[in-house]
Amino acid sequence: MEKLSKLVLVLTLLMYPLPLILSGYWERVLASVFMLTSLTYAQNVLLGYTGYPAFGAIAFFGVGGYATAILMIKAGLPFGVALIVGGLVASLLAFAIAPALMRLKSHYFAITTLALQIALAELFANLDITGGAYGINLPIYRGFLGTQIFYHIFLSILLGSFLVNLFIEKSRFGYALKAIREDEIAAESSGVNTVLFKSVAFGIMAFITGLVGGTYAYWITYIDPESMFDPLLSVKMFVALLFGGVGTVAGPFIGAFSLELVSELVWSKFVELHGVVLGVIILLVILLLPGGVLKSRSG
Amino acid sequence: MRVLEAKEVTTGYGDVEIIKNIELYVNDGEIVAIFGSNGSGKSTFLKAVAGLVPLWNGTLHFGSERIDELPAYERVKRGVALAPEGRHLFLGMSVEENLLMGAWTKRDRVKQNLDKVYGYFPQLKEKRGSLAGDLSGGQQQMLSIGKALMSEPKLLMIDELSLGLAPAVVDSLAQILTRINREEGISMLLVEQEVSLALEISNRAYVFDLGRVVDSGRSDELIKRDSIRKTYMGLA
Repeated sequence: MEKLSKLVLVLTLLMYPLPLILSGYWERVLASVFMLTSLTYAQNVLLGYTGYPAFGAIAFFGVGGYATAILMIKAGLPFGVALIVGGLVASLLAFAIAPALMRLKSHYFAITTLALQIALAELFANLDITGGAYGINLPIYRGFLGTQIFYHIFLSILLGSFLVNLFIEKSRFGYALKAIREDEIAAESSGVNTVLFKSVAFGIMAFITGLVGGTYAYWITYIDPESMFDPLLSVKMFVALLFGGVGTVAGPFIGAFSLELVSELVWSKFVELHGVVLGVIILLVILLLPGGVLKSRSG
Repeated sequence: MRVLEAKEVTTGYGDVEIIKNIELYVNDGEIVAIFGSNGSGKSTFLKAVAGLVPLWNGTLHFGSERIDELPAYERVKRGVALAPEGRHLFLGMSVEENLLMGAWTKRDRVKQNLDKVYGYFPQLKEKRGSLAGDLSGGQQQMLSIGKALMSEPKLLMIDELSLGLAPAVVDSLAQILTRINREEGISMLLVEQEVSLALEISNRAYVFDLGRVVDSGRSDELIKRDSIRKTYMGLA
């Protein structure tokens, strides 16, 4: 594990100068790989370490994306500030609803978060400030860094979310989360403030997911409820996490990279087969790798 | 001096009332047992004391402090420890990690407390690197008690010590508990189905039935009483 984490760190750092030699196509492909990897790392904080499957985590992708867009357009904030505040908005929302939501566990929790995602999509499709079903147009980035900037922002979010996972793996904070995952009653009777810790984990997940959503919004320059609350993104994130290994530091990286690269290749060659491949991967993971590529303890 | 004093404790789950007007106390250094049939509310009472179930009515005092409004983790800090029914351990963590989790609220003397627990349960020391999930039932019960001891409790509550364990294992665990009680001065509140065992190791006992205290007294007197022997021990 130690070695794999170091490998992930080195690979991540090595990818910073890559746009110098990459074509625009591969720059975009890798940016979307980084995006999925970051989302998977965010989910790993919650499902992997805390044991709560937030199947509708993309709700916070949407909230982060919309918050960033609205802050840029209506409040005129620069992107960097809008992005951070957008992430915080997603995170605060999560932290506020966590004590109630996280009284539910496993399937019930998963379904409730999905309901949240769908409800928010409906809400955002009917509000004035979000542009309703028409969505919001964002300005196109015309700075001197060009499109590379999105590659680097996504890569930095990936790096940050990897470091968060690494910290959780090693720290006392992480032990509290793992204790909640293993047995919440035992954690509570050991004196762990379970409500606080799992709410913080939920907030961290939402913060990273919101940052990714905000960056995505600026990257594609147009958002609507359908694209920002896309259930397929939830599915991809979960498949990547299960494939790589739940509750491991290197798992999300391995899972998201292999899934997104394979899916990109299939997508470019056989557009209509894309969904089939995703389905086949899910089946193979369940049948052959129930603990993911890196066999996890919680698997 | 009383470690624990429960007055008119009433609680339940959802709309269903499980225990009503429980009056119970534990003196400093005492071992007190609770027994009674299934569904009589014994475990619910321990959970209420630990803070895992909120009270509907009544009060709980720990020493001189009222604790029924405090969350579970605050009660652990003050010295209320529960080894829950079914042993609730962190099965994916090692034995030592489980014990360290037990020391979550007491981080000053972790090393000494660890040595102390290993002293009482040498088997845990041998298995310190093993996953808790790989231990035998008896070792898991030791770990559950050891984990509770790591929080330096003043009151140790054990829910169903004998659950699913061989009689010989239960006997040796009971001996260790009386030793811990004597040497550390830790008061204990035990919920136990095995009534003869409960009465042998305790100073006093309470009989629960349908969520109420129906009998109580000194254990050496209860054990001689015909009604108790007939109803709870299967003896004439």
